[in-house]
Amino acid sequence: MSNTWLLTKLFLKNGTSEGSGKKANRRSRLTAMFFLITIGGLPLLYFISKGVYTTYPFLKAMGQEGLLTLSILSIMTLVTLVFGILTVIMYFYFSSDVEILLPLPILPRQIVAAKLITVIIMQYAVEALILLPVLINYGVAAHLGSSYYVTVLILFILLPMVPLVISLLVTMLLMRFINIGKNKERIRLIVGIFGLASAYLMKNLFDYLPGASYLSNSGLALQSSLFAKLSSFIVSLRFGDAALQEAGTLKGWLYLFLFVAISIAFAVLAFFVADRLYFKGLLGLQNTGATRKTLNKNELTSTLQQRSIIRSYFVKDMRILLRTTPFLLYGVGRSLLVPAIAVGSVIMNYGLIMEGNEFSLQDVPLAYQSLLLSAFVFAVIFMGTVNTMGTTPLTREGKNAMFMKYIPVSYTKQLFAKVLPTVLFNSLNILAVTIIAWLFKMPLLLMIEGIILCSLVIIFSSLTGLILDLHSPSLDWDNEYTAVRPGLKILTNLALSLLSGSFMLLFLKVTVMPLTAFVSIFIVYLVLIVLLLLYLKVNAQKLMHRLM
Amino acid sequence: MITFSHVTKSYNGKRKAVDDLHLTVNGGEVFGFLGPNGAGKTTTIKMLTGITDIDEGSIEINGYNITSDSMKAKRSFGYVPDSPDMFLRLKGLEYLNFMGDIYKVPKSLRQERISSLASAFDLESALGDHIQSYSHGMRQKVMVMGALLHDPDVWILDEPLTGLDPKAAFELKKMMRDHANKGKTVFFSTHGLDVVEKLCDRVAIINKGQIVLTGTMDEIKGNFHQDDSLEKLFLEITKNE
Repeated sequence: MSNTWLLTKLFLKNGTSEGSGKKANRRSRLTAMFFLITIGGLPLLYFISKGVYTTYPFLKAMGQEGLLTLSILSIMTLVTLVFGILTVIMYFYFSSDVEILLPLPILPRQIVAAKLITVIIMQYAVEALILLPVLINYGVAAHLGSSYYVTVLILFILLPMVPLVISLLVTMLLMRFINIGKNKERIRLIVGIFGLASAYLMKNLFDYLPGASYLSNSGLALQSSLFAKLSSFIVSLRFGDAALQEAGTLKGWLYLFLFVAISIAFAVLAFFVADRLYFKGLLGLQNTGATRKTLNKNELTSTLQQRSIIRSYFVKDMRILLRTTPFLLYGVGRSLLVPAIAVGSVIMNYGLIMEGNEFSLQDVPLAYQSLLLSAFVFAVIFMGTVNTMGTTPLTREGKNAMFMKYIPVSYTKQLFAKVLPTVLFNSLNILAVTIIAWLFKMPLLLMIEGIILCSLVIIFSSLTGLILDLHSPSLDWDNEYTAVRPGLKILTNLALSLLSGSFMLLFLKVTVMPLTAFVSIFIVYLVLIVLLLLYLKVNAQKLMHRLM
Repeated sequence: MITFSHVTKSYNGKRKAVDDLHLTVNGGEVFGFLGPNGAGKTTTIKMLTGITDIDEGSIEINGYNITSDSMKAKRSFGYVPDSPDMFLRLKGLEYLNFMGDIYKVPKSLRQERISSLASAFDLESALGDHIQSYSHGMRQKVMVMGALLHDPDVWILDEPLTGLDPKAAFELKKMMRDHANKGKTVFFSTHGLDVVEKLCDRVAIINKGQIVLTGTMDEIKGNFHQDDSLEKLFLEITKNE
């Protein structure tokens, strides 16, 4: 078997273990997770199907039905590009397995190929949730034949290739030049900031690129121009979309062939560059700088601070989060990136949105205020649960989790301290949504109610994330990226948060009074949080004893 | 003082990793725990420190049961795990300060102890650096410092001398002896038979989960040929039947 396939199998095996423990227990945990994801994901699938069926006739009447497929392909490509940079830096450069691979007789292109295949396969989970439902529903709505679905399958398989290779090429080039200094700690910090900044810039880059708008309709111009620019920048995207539109015809097959050919050409280019640049950017990167300077009495006194156990635990966790590149990029980075992109996008397009119609939430009728409140909370639910910070507090400890068991601190106290970084970083989402709400002149009272409810939502989702991780921690990782890569737990936590949000919709059905809705939702979340805390108090000992 | 009372632990409900272990380690003793790989040493130490639960029997540390009175039991010992690769992203001093907070060591006392331990282990110039930059031996030293910071009565050390340079190994052995001489307890596992011969007051040899021999060096040698080395005795006792 070739080295590439051997490595791919190894990476997939290491990267896909969801929790440790007995086989039977793991199976039942996985079944429970799938069940929750299905229940929680049903509303999402319902909204996607309803969205496609409602939009399709409207767009078809305008002869613009192709916008649906172009939009979803563009969104997937954009998401892969934005988060691809972070994934590539972490998985190709800062994962500890590269130290083991370097002394082995393996070519750089073989490592890069195996890692690229692994990342693409992981990307399929996101595609299966969003891309497939839209494309399949589109096919059904447009009564398309089997050749359309063959095209969908090939697009599904190859779509992440080009954006990931672009991220990989940019990273390989930059790492070659960044990794020449001796201070590796500083390099790590630079790379971390670079990763976050490029992910953010990647999103905003397309706002500046020239490109013809697909639509002249003002309502759709904002979205369509972004997608048009993206497809003019990533040529394979244009061919992929054309293959879908012309599926079944000779032209369609030709477009599909071009899409496949470009994707393969990009992969070959990545391997070619990898042979020349990958190892040069990698060598010595895992080393840590040391000053070996004896601290004087003053320095010793200032570092040795006596803190409460919870505060000390929190400080320790924060230091590890901020100093471990994969944790910084995937945990902290994502929690900073999502609100930054949300606020950035609104601010950059603010003029366009407000143009002509002076859009304001100030005068929203009473009947819609509760709905507005729930939109505020749902935005925070989505933004706060799409990072892996909340679902990996124990997993991130890895083999260090053993430490938690022999120190004289109760498990409840330790677990409580471990939730605090999640609460802190996810609170940034509240800030982001509040800024957006303020920009659109949401009534002050409603905004305060939203902030209070969102604080409870953040605590709720942080606790559910912790409990999920406590039930199914993956402590045996030998690669920090594996610890924080998105997995089933993040989807399960999102499903749980969405389920809690559906209670909210129930109250909105019963009352239109925003204050009544606020009080009711507040009480529901408070009760849920108390129940989760009680659950932790009662079960912490039992669950912690199952670890290791 | 440590008391193991008929302790049993099995994995998957089948294989007994530790079988009816009954042992007392007295105050004032340096106690060596020997056995071949997979004999049950680490499982015993994990049960002793509360990392793994006990299937049958009980363990007491200074009179506190590790299961029912775990907080008091844990406060009375300092533990050095077999792998020192922990908290690599923290600086040495940050780790020690964290341990000081966990064991509630007052600021003035922790500063004094860190200085004296760092001097004994020759680690003064490395405390401001990340543990990740340390060699294996330096990591081991900082773990030992963290375990001893709160001056526990009972020391539980899992292969503590692995990777230490001669000076640090000498210092640690001296500290173990001094600690026992104060009437306190040192329980450690090792593969270094020469260390056991020179340092330990009593020894237990575990094989296939069962204690096969306990006693002072003289008692053990008395059961065999007096002139045989501990290595020869060990190989004879633990050979596969």
